[in-house]
Amino acid sequence: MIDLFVWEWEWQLPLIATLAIAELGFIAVWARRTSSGVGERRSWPALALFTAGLLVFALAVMSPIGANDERLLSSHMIEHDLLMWVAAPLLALGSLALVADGRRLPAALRRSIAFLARPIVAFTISTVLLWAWHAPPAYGLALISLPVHGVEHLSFIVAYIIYWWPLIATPSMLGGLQSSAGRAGYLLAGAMQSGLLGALLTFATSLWYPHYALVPGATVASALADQRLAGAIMWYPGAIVFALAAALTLRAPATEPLAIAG
Amino acid sequence: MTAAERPVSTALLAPDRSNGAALRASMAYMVAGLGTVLLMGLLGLLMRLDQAGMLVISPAWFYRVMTLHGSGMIAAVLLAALGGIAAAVSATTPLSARALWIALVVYMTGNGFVIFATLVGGFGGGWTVLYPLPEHGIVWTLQAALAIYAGYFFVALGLLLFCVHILFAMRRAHGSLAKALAWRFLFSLGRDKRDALPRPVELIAVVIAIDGIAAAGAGLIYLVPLFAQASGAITTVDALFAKNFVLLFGHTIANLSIYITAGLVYAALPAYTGRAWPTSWPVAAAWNLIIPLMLLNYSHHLYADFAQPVGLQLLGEIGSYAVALPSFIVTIIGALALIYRSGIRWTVAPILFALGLWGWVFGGLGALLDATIPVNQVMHNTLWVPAHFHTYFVLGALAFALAYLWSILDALSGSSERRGTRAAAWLYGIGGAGFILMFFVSGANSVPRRFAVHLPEWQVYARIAVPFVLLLALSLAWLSWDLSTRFGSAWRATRRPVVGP
Repeated sequence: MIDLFVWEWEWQLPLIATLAIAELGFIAVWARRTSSGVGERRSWPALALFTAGLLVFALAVMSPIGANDERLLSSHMIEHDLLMWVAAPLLALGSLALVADGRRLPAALRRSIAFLARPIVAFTISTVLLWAWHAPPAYGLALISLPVHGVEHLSFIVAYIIYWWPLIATPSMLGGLQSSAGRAGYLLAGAMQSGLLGALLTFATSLWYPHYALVPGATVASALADQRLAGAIMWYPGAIVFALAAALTLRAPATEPLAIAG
Repeated sequence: MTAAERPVSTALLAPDRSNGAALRASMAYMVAGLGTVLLMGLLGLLMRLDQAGMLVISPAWFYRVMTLHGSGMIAAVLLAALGGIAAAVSATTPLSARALWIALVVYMTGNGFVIFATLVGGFGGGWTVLYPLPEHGIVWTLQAALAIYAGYFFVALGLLLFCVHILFAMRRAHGSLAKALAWRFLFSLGRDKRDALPRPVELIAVVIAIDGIAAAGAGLIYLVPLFAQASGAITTVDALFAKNFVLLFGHTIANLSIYITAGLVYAALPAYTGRAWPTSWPVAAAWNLIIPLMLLNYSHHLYADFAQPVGLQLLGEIGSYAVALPSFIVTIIGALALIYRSGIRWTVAPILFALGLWGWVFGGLGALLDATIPVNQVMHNTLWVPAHFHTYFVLGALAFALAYLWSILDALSGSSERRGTRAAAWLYGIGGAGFILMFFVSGANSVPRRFAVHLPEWQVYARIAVPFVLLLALSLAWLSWDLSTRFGSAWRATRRPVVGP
């Protein structure tokens, strides 16, 4: 199975251009906010986080990890993990500074963020997109069509920026979850739905994506073993990511009064 | 009675009323734990129906259900117990809600792994850790075994985080762990009272945190070689090492549940009896003794292993006897003395606490019999063993945990008690007793445990048990429904400003 892995980079000019435009656009907005003194959280770390998010995106898609995504499902799952669980939260963290003060945003954008960042909406979007793209017909289409594949990755990034937003935003910000209980429940729901998909993939007894058995040098048995590994890659590291996210996002409580006199 | 007059409120709330966030996290532990208990209980009903011949489950599914029921129940009751002790301790010792929530997320992630490994992955190896069964089951894959190990890993990690936080919090509050364990008072035979003594529940929290860290450590130690073996990094794991450590982990976790929930009796019962239960010398001595003794008794599950050194076998028997005595004598007799002629009103919580004491005594006696080597040789592979641990789980730990959650929600919500709920509490005891009695009778008649298919002559015991299980399920459903109607207002009450003095 490991013999199928090819050490090569896959430079994609449209993607590089898109990422460069995104970076320049971010810098423009960030610099304007900085020069006008808007927002308390404008900072170099925000720029660094956003840039790191784009770099991880590029690394996931164009490095040998992404270059092998049509040969090995396990490599494809590492790519998805990086997009959803590393790049997306980094991009969300970087963007946070720009929308910290919701009052300064255009009304339509503010309403959109407020709607998308509702926990039930954000959870539904991320879950539906994750599961829909892993359905064999959609996944198969992405494997044979580069534009569809690009849309798949872009939708993962967008969906998971939306997923991480309620956790990353402070309670006073647009869409920020208000309580530790809410954040813990939200994290567990996210961990369980992606964990279940990983478990189904791990324990499947037949190939979900026959494409991987047709790769030169592969067999049905090697593709099945690769599929098990891919499921585990989605499942196990995901749990660690969600545990780390819990450590980072469950904030210490403020001192709160109680209702009942002792 | 207004909420402010409710007796338990004084045992729950911090003097400066600052433990609302920790209390909410603790309530989440208890609700998550008891909710899981309900689901696992339904799986137990399925197994009993199968053993009664009233429902046919394939052996593969039976063992999946048995694995999930057993590991899920132990994890769930422990979770509810941890929530209870955190709530009780937080009244006088500041706890970080953040730490509690993180431990909960990690712990529940482990539960998710176990659920997926059994229900999706088909793992049905129970608690067997010896090669080749867990890794090469006929109906499950290596990945299912790895997922089970990962589940246990996250549960152990969650427990470890919780216990470490409790130890740090108690050390900060009392100045040192020695003071939190009342050692100066203990070793001076009660004469030296210079240190402020911890409340019994605080002392118990430190004891269980120490043993919890030892149990979690044992779990992580045995999991590492098993992971390595499953991944092919090493070829063999010493079988005796694996069995000792898996039992030191699993048995201690099961024991922790009952001892933690016993701590809740110290926290809440005084409020109902109107009598104080201070940290006396016998209380301090008994609970300090629990620290080493709880770690010794696991080996009574290894009597049948001929390779186990005789010294460890004897230690298992002595440890099992010894651990029972101090906690039994001090807690049971102390609780009964507290209740005797106190004029206690038999509302839901005291009923459940009394049932818990009853279950602890009878489950403990069953355990003592099983820990006696000649008896164990005959009884250990029969339903006698599920009988004893179901007794102190269903009628002991779970009853205590339910009683304590009831106390909290009752005190915070201020809702009046329904008469039907009091009846449900009694029916819980009757259903539980009948269900467990049939396990004991089955064990005494040598009905084997862990058998998916029961011979017709064994089915009669399960058939008698089924109505009692249904009664237990109905009473639990009623209690849960009543608790759920109080939950919202109790949760909000932890946020509201203090009214009155």
